Amino acid sequence: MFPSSGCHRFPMVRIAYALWLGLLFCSQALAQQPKVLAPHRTPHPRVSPPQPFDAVTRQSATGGLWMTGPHMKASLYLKNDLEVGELSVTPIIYLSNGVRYALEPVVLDASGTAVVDINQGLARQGVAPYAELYGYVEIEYQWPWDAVCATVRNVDTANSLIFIYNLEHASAVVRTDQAASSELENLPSYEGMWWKQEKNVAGFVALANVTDQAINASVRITDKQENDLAASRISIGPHATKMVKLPEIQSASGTTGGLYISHDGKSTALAISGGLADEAVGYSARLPILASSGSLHVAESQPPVESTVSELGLMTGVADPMMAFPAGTAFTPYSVVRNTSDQPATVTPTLWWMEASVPRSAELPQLKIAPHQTLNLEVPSLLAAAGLRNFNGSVNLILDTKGQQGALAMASGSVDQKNTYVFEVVPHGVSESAAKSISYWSTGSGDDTMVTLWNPADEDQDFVLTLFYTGGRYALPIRLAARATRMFNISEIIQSQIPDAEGNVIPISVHEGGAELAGAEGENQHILLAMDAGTYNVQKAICGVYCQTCDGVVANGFLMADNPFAVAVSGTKQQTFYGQWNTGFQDNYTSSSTWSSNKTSVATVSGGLVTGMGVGSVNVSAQYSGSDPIYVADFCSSGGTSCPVQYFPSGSAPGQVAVITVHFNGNLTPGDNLSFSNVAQTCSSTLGLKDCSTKFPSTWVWNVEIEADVSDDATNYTVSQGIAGLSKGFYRASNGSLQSFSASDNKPAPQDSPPSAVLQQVTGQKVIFWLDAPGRGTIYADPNNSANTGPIDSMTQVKNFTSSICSKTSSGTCWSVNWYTKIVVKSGGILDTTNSSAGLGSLSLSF
Amino acid sequence: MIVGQILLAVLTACGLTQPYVQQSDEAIAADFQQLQSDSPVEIHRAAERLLQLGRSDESVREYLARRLPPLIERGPAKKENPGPWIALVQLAGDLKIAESSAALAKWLTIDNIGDISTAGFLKLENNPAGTALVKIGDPAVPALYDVLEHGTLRERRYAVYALIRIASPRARSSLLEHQKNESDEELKKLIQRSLSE
Repeated sequence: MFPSSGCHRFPMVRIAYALWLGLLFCSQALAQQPKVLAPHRTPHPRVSPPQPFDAVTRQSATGGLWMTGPHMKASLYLKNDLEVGELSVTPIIYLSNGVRYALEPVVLDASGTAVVDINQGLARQGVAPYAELYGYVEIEYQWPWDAVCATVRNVDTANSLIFIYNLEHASAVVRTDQAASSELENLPSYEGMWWKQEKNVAGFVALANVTDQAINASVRITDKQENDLAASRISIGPHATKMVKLPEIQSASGTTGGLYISHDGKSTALAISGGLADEAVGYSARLPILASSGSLHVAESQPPVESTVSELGLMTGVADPMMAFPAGTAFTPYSVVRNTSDQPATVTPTLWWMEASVPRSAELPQLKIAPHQTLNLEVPSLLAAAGLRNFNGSVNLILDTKGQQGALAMASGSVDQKNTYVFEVVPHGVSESAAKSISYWSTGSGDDTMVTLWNPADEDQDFVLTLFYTGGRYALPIRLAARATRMFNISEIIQSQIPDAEGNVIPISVHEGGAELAGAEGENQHILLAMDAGTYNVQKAICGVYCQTCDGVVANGFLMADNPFAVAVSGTKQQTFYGQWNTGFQDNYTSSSTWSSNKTSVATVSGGLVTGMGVGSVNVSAQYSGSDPIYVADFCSSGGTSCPVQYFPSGSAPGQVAVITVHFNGNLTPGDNLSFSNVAQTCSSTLGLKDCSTKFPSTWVWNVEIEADVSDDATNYTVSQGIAGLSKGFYRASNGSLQSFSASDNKPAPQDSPPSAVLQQVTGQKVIFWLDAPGRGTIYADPNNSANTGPIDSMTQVKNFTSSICSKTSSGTCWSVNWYTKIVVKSGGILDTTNSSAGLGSLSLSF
Repeated sequence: MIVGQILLAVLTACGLTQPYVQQSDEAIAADFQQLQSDSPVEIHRAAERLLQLGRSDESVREYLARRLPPLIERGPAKKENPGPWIALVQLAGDLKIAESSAALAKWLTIDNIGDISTAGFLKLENNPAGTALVKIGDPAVPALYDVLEHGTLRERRYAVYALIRIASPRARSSLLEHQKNESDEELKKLIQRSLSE
């Protein structure tokens, strides 16, 4: 039951176990524990209307060991984490020798799932689907951020074996790589653990080189005392996969040990997958492997990190009759932890279970785990210590850990007495998060998906479980009492046929989909929830855990809406600081952020409202003083990690302040070297209303000068202008009668842009000038009927202009000014200088 | 079968099986006569008909090429009501009657028609003869060059606008040739700027 007799190296462990019974705290002691509050922060408002997404780029994820054989079937499970659009995903299968096969693209509906049969995919490429092959998978698609959760499931139904591996996105890999490059001095290295559920368990590790360069790797397996059991060096060609069998596990005298892997490639070059199996009895489990923290330069003084890890729904005792296991099936839970760091760690287990619908708990004594020690927590002993020796049902094992960041590799689950039914549980960190998603659930072909929820808070919380399936979605409200656990099968929800709040019922014919567990106020509500889900099949004696997703802000997703931005002197521009969520929605942090400007003489900012103070360049920043969750597509680490959050997210945007001034009267501005002499419709060289009706060319016009003061070279801008105008009045027809006319003049920008003859835009200057002289010729001519012509007798003409400049060096950075001219001609063709006007803004064209 | 043959015979008789319709000289002459009437309405209608016919019948265009230039050259009968004359100018432009270029070039200073903006003015939107010359295009260049050589500053300015818009190699050559002799500095700069674009 306890660590084997070979365990002389860590006698404290045995002492600790012996003390459990005496030191046991039961649920009565709960009141003495510090109160754990549920998050109560109001969710951020959504950006509405949403900001346009960034340009799509190639996204990819790699990994996912696949294995085929006479009995081994491999399937790729894809889940679209995007709720606002479909995605076309191309799966690419790499054989162990690096040969690449791109399969047909798969279209994933919004929040949709798809399953790709790898055996069939290979068969279509001319590869025998029954051949014993393996390799890794890559997926490719186009989107601004990684948005697909991908899992490979390998199932041998003849031998009741199942191995599930996730693909990792390039963006996540890059993050890891950046961390590694800054912290790692040695070659990339990994550390894992093995344990023997029974004596015939053996293992394997598959190393997939996801790069174009060959790499050399070494694999070393150790026993409990860290003595080498075996070591090997292998070379792995580009995109090749090498399978290293670990028969030493089976022959080892001990029941636990370690696994060390290192290679000479980039830290992201290897996708490593491992497994433990005993084909004879149908036992299979995933072999946990972590990027080694032992090789990190962790200073001696670096304080250990405390965290809480949940291992939910560990079955113990006689199986639930509702799950239809063979009579007499009984389960035993297990939990194994390895400290991969060079510093000691501690684990304090607490058991939580439901008794008569009331949560109960028992806190157990702290255990110490020496550096590079693998410790089987002997859950049956923990249960006995908690008075649950004969307990039939499920318990949650909560581990309060203290050690180096990310240094504990963990594995847990439940195994029946024949070691055939293995219900793996993924240890997950317990922390505040936003919604969490289950990438795949199934109720078809004997499958069912069991979901376990545990409320770690000392107060009730309300959630909504949304099931997504082809053709619809179904929302189920769930209230979890303080510290309560709830377990249910997806099939129960489908079979209930109870309409949700919107009247949706899941058709009985639906057998698969994805799911999201969110706070009642929406996916961006912060919640404190532990969740686990596994799909099991009693007939096939398999159970698998598909990847989960932490919903949140995507990589580089804290953004400013107008970036770069433009604002006019004395003008304002409302900036928006937001987070781009993986689902497609956007959290608006504008009002809850602290804003600042690096040059207040150019622009000030308050609450995101930027005010232009003077011509120049400026940088405006926003920082949210709280935290928001970060999106993780494949939240399936063996390290008991939590859904991550970004503290104090910030964003900034460069901006330019410029001003466009329209001069309506007086002389041309000094420095303006243009001349109205090239503007033949006017009869004057000064600005203002001009009566040219008695001169050539016989017009009424308003001479205008437009001046744009900019922060850089004038030639870095394009100038454009548009008009919307209307003239109404009377003309005298050839027969002497007065006829009414109404003529609109609409030329959207850039149709009324200034010709070069009246545009001054000179290199080395920071000012642009252009001239205009809008008005009307004294002769009216119907453009559609030459019969209708004559001298204008009276008229009101309004022209509304929009003059703009746009930076050529900063895409989308534009400034505009609206201005108008109104020219009134009194009866007899006399210019009405009193009622004619010009100014900034626009006038109504309804007259 | 018989019905089909009858239908073909009827269509052939009506000339509908031919791609172009050749108009009788009498009909063209009648419409042309109406172009010279005192009624702006009749002139407008006749111009519309001749435009329609001229687009599908080369002989109509040739007829007009012989007879339209003198009418255009006369200018508007009433300066205040240039509608009938504008109808003739538009007809020449729309049918690209190069023979009318010289006549049109004579009237480049009729420029006070309609809504005005600087961009539109430089595009000759308010200048019926200038618009027609731009539509005629490269064949109008000699007439415009003649204006550059002998016209007033105002006329030369419009000729420059027109040549800039025609923008054919011959038009650019004309501008290049003239700029050396252009006495108005502003217009000279305008020509130079247009040639550098």
